Amino acid sequence: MRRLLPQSLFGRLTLFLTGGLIVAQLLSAAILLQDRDQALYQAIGGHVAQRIGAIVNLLDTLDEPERRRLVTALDLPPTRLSLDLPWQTDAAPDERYHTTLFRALLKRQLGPDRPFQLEINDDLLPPLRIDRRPRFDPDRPPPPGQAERPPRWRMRAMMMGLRNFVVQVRLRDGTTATFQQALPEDVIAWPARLLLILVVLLASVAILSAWAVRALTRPLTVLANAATELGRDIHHPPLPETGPLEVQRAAHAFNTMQQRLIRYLEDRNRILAAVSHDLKTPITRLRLRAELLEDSPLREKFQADLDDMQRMAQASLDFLRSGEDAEAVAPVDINALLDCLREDAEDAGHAVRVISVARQPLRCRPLALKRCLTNLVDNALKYAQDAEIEVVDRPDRLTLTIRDYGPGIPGAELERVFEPFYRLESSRSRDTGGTGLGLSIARNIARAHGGELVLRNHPTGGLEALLEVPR
Amino acid sequence: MSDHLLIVDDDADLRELLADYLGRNDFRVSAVADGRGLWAALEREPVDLVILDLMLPGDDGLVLCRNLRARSRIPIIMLTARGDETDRIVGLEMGADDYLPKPFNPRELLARIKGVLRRSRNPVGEPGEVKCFHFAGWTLDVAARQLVAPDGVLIPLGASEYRLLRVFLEHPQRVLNRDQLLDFTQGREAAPFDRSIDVQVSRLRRRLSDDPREAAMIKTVRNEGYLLTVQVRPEY
Repeated sequence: MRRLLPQSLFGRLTLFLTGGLIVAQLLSAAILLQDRDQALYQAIGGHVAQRIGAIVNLLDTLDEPERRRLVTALDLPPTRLSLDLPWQTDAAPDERYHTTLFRALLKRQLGPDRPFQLEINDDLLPPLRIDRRPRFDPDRPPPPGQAERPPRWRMRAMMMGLRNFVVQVRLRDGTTATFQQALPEDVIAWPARLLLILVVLLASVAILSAWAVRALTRPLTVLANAATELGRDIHHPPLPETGPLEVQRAAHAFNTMQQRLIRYLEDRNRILAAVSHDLKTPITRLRLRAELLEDSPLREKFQADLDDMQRMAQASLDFLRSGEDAEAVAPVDINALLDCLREDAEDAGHAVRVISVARQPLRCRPLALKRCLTNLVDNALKYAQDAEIEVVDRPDRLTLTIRDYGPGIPGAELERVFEPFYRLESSRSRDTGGTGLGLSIARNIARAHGGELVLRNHPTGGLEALLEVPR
Repeated sequence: MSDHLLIVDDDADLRELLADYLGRNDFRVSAVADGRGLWAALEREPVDLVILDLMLPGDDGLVLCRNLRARSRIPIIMLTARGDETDRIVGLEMGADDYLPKPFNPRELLARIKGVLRRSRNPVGEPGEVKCFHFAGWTLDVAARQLVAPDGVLIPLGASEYRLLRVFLEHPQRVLNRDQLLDFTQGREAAPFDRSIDVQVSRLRRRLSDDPREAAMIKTVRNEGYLLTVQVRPEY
């Protein structure tokens, strides 16, 4: 059951509204049709009974030739009249509401002592044949092409559930008069119009409810989009606080949350910046003090500690700035940039292979992008001697894949290593471990360029960093 | 007589330590806390080099740097705790000769001081600091350390390539031998892994899309060295 439901709120609401509407409309249409049916029976039945009564009374007073002439004159659709058919003896007693009603009407017209029998049949073929024209003769095969096609009025009867009245009345001299009547054409057309009205009503209500539901669910979509955007850009413009009251409140709550988040992040950044920044002067002093030490091994240890402290402070500041866009955007020759990285690695005794080239310069923040790539290459070279950078240049984006042939990273850690100060257990030691900010900085820079940076383990071993920047 | 350095920094401890350290390295050192002290010290006796902190009470380092540059050619090394790329660019544009982010390695400061002093004694010939060099449609932005190609595309340069290019641009249309090039490039900021001059030149040529077999910008002069063939227009 749950699987059959549409997934979206829009789909569900539309389904419930339209479905409910269809059921309501069908029910009321059924009631209406039934009422109409009764009214028609009253009216038509009364009319038909009156007519049959009059004709029977007239026939009683006429002799045989005159009867024939009269029958010929009256035997016209929709009322057929015949004196030649035998009394139907096998007519089952029919106690249905309509039949009873009509029988009472007939009895009133024909008088209490005249024998008559009535059959109202919903079948396709009337049990009594009063017409001898070939198309009504069941013993003769129908002409080819018409085999399966009932006559036109019968088709309508079939579709509308139209009924035939067959009334047999015994005349005073024992002759059987058989009347057959079908409902008139214009009465049949009526339900078709009703159906058309229903369809129009239903269609307009369905469209209207779809529109209304769309209008109601749109704020939800807007809210979801805003939340997604917020993840990317905390300073995304606030939502408009308009629309229905509930929507206004949701938007307001959302905007308040955004303000709080911004304040929180600002506080955090201010603290981190202040700590990192204020560390610089003491570190400078310590460096000078260390330089003044006479004991050279002690001095070197001091300096190594100071190097660590300085790296942390600098990396923290770099991390804080990595999401900013202070630097001006300029077209940068990516191939030259990769060449620089390759040569720097070469100078440090590593081999970096650059595969393929960028076809055109990339508009970016030059120093930030260089920092991002440097961090990625450094990270690759931390675990492996060699690395390779593959360039895939598409019209809409540039993808740089930095791959090493090191041990890779456990799958569960692939996202976590982007968290600031997160370090793999294997790189906790000071000689291999960096500041724990390199990848965070790289990803921040990628995102500040509207791009993305992900890590994945290469199926044939080694780690791959995928940097994608839109053009 | 040893060179006279003037330290301007509001941190008393740092001032004292710097004075002590530089004093041990055969400099004569005065130290003041702010701009007022700077002007007073300059009145008192001649100064060979000013070490100027960026963040100072009252007039900050940038203002002092500009004012100082307006009235004299005393070399200036800026110190800052901000370590921002824009700070460096602004500092150099304000006329500082060099720039060092805190926390610095004292030995690096010593090297910079010596480098700046040497350059101020042997001026390359131009008055004032060059902001940009224009050559054959190319531009080297000295402050931002950015090379811009004739089509406006920014070409990233490694530190050693930047230094080498700058030496060529400061000595255009002059044959420079390998020793001279090494001396000029090392004179600024020595990097631990500097390659041989030939490797550096070939890298620089690649950045400049310069083909040595054709009418090259950097021409090899057999048995002598290298020559920057194009006209250079410095912008101050």
